Amino acid sequence: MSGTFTRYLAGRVFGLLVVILALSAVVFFLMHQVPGGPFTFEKQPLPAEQMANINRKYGLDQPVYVQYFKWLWAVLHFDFGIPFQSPTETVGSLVQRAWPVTIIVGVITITISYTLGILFGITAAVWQNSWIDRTVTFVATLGLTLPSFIIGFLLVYILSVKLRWLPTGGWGKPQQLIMPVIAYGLGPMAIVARYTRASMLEVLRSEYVRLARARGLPWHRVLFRYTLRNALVPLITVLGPGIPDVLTGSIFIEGMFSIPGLGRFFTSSAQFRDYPMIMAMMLLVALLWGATYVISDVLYGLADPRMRVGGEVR
Amino acid sequence: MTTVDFHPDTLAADENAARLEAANSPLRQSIQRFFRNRLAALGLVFVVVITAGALLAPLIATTAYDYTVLKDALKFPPCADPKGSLPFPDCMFAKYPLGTDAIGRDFWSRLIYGARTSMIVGFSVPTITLLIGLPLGAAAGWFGGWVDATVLRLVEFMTAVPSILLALFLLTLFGHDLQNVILFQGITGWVGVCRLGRAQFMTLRERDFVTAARALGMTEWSIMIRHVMVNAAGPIIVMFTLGIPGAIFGEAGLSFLGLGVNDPIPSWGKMVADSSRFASVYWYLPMIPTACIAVTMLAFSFLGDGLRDALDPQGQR
Repeated sequence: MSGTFTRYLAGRVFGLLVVILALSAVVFFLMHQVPGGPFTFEKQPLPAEQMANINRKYGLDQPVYVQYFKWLWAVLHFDFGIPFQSPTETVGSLVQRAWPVTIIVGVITITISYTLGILFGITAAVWQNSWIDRTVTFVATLGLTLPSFIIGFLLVYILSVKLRWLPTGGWGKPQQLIMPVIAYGLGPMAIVARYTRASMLEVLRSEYVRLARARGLPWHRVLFRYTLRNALVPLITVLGPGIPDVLTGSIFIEGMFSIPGLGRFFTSSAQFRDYPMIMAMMLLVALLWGATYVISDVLYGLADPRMRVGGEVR
Repeated sequence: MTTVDFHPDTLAADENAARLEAANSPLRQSIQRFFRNRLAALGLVFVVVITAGALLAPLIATTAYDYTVLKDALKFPPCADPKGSLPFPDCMFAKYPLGTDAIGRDFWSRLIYGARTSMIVGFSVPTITLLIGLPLGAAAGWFGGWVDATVLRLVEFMTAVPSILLALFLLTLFGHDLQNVILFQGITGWVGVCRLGRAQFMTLRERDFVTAARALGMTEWSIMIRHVMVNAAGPIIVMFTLGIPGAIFGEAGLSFLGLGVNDPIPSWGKMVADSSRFASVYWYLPMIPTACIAVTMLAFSFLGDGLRDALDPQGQR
């Protein structure tokens, strides 16, 4: 059993690495193929000699495949280069500076939205078709369909512009976190609430719950001991993918509330043709997503014995 | 003593049964199920209104959407203007029914043409994803083996980075305009359709009617198109419909960031971004396009959900 599991895990990790390698190659060649470069300025173009100097300094005068392998070699030694948009630091230190901000927002968002989502989902399922259920379903639909920047804009307009309760944006004070977290978390909360509700209803209708009720077990015991456990397992596949999404930061949320996180570098890096930064962001995103998929599949296998059929997980 | 049962009453009963069956054909049942869902019907009404508005934009718009009159910049809507001189019904037919934006363009006309932009994106992007994803998914599910393995690798590759980020990356690199917004959203967004097509073709391949059709000598191609496609159509239509709000959201979001359509083409997302600076006084300037995006997305989502319940009664949420 453990042998097949190790082999399965090794296979998944290997597959992930292959995908990331392929992706990095495609992105690298693609960004070099597009006309123009990081130091091509339309308004005041640099003299040819200076251009040649800069290109030589950053290795941009070499063939693309040479540049790629050099980059790959450096990355394997944890050297991600120097960001063109901020040449006084390294990509590593830039990420170290900006990412914690994004992670703080992300962790708060995920914690609050997942907790509330699960609680709302359970409540809605237990009192199915009551006003609570209808309210939860309605809010969940809004949260699922409305884009975060629309929610963010409405919050800014109502809470900051009209009521003047909260600052429109910025970083450093706890109250500056309120609106980003709401705007960001409503979507994940809605998804989780909806899935929890559906999953709970399915389990509540199952025969063993009916049997437990028929045998006279107290309702709270049936709910907490038998229903919740089984209902929450399928949620792993829903909860998982939300995490890398939030941990890499939202361009919309961070831009709208001027949070100095990682999100804005998704656009600025591509705009400045900041090759090292583009590649670093790509690696970060791909690794986070890939790891989440692998981890949630493994967790699913651990939590639900039915998914563990020899090596045939999934 | 056997009596051959050809009594006229029995015939009439048969006919009745046939009529009943026609009245309860699967299509009619689906339509009934759809309209029993009030939200879905409401969604359909809104979708029809918005689509009609987008199609008839030149007739509904009062002026050209890109016509700038700088001296008329930031005019209030005549009916809500505190210094307005026109009484109520007349003010609705004034020059700028909803006032003007920051550089003096008619807001109403931009809103209507913005609907057109949203609809173009909303219908084109799912079409592209369908054209890429469905053949790939169908081939993977139908043929299995190395075809399936190849497609699955491709899908895995595409899911390594979220599609909106990939689209964003391509747009910043290759330049952004309406065409590229559609193209890149389509190129990066086909994974869902591909997965669905694969699952559908995989399960339908094993069904008895496919074996029967093959035994009767139908070619693989005609089985795929005449039998499997028809049976897979429901979920695929639903996915297409639910892809529309996604595409509209994508365009609005990209335009909001300044990476979507370019001036002078109006886009609701861009209108929100451009006018949010004036929100403290001209609150309706960002608020109306916001409401438009919200209503359109809700309408298409309700429509899609309703279609799912109507076309696929056994389907689970």
